[in-house]
Amino acid sequence: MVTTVSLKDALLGGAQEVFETMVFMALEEVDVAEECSEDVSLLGSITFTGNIEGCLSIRCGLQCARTIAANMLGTDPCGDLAECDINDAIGEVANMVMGAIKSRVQHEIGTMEVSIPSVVQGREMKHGLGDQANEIVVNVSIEEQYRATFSLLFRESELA
Amino acid sequence: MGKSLLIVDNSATMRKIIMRTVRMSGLDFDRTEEAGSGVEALQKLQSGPVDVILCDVNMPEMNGTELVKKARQLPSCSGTKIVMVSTESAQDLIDQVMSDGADGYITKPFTPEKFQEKLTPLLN
Amino acid sequence: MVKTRIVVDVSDAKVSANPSDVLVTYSLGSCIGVCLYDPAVHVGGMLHYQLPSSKMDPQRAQSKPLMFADTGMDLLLDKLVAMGANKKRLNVKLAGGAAMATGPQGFDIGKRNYLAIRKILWSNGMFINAEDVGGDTARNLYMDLADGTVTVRSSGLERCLR
Repeated sequence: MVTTVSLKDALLGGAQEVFETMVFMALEEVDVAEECSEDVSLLGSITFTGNIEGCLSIRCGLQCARTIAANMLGTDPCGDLAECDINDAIGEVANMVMGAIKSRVQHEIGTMEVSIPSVVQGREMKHGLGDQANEIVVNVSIEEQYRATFSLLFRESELA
Repeated sequence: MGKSLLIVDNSATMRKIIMRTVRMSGLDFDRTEEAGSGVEALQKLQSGPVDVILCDVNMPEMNGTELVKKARQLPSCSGTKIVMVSTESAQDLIDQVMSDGADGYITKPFTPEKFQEKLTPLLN
Repeated sequence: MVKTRIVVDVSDAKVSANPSDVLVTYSLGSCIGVCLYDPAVHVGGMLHYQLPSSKMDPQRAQSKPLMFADTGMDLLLDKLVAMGANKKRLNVKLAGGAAMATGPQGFDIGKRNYLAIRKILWSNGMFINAEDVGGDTARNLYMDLADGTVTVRSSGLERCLR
């Protein structure tokens, strides 16, 4: 069984790879989740099944999400990005981070089927997967400007 | 004669990124179309052939691996170059989709330089 | 041909359309040197910037715009275009962005500098044609205006970027 330590490394390493390659921003892990100063936040998530099953999510403030979307598209963050553009970009980030995690752990835990990402905007959002779930949380600082939280909720599949 | 391109990905952001990279590469396409799923892509292919398809793997309705198999059954797609662009990096999946008829495979995330480096030789 | 060496200082940029010029910058550590060259009109320029974004110090950016990747690239591109270069034709070559032991801890300025230039080039629709970045050694960078050849010298070794 894959250790939570290697999953955490895969999560942070995968997130850094995606951000450095396609968002052009550096991520650094920080110890504590700083209260998000923004009112509205986005939660992008993608579920997976296989020997372990669960959900990967990224949560960040709206301004942070806007910057991520603008960087990916090569446009001005103050420009006219529609809400659906921002949501779609965050969903694609979740999708790519999931892919990067898979490529790091699939030799240990086998293949994982992933869903299509979904994104919601709201306040004080949280994910749950019942009592049997493990959760790995990585809080990151994005170039000292923004904070984001990656969470990997998982449990061993009943079929495994 | 100018060529035609079909970009298939459920993410509009990714379609725009791919489009921008293709334009930057100076690859000459007269006509570019987009589809958000395998089903939508297949409808477009049935109404007329395209020269190049850049195709995601994980998509709703019909995924990219299914689309490759179906496209290869269409007489109009026999000469079409199909390049997969996906977050999936498992070698057995790549081998499978290549044997099903894909011509190339690019994994996400990619830099524009990497994308161009892999795509250009496939199209020349 | 006798070559004239034109030195690009730290937080500085130089441009030239003279084929006998060689633009050179020394001691790129975490800084990045950007070489732009339009082979059709033989116009080129080099920027040696220190920091990724003018937003880090807007006041400084007013007086020293070439210190930062964003304001520095804006100026360099404007200048080259004014000299007849076409942005879409420009060859882009980079060097530097090393993680220097002397830099501030916990903040990899070399990596930040590299991500900044990649973001700027992406938003301008420009590819990086060649680069020699990262690592932990200082580099000297040379661009020959006769044909845009870019050479990097580091730890006694010389390498042509292509």
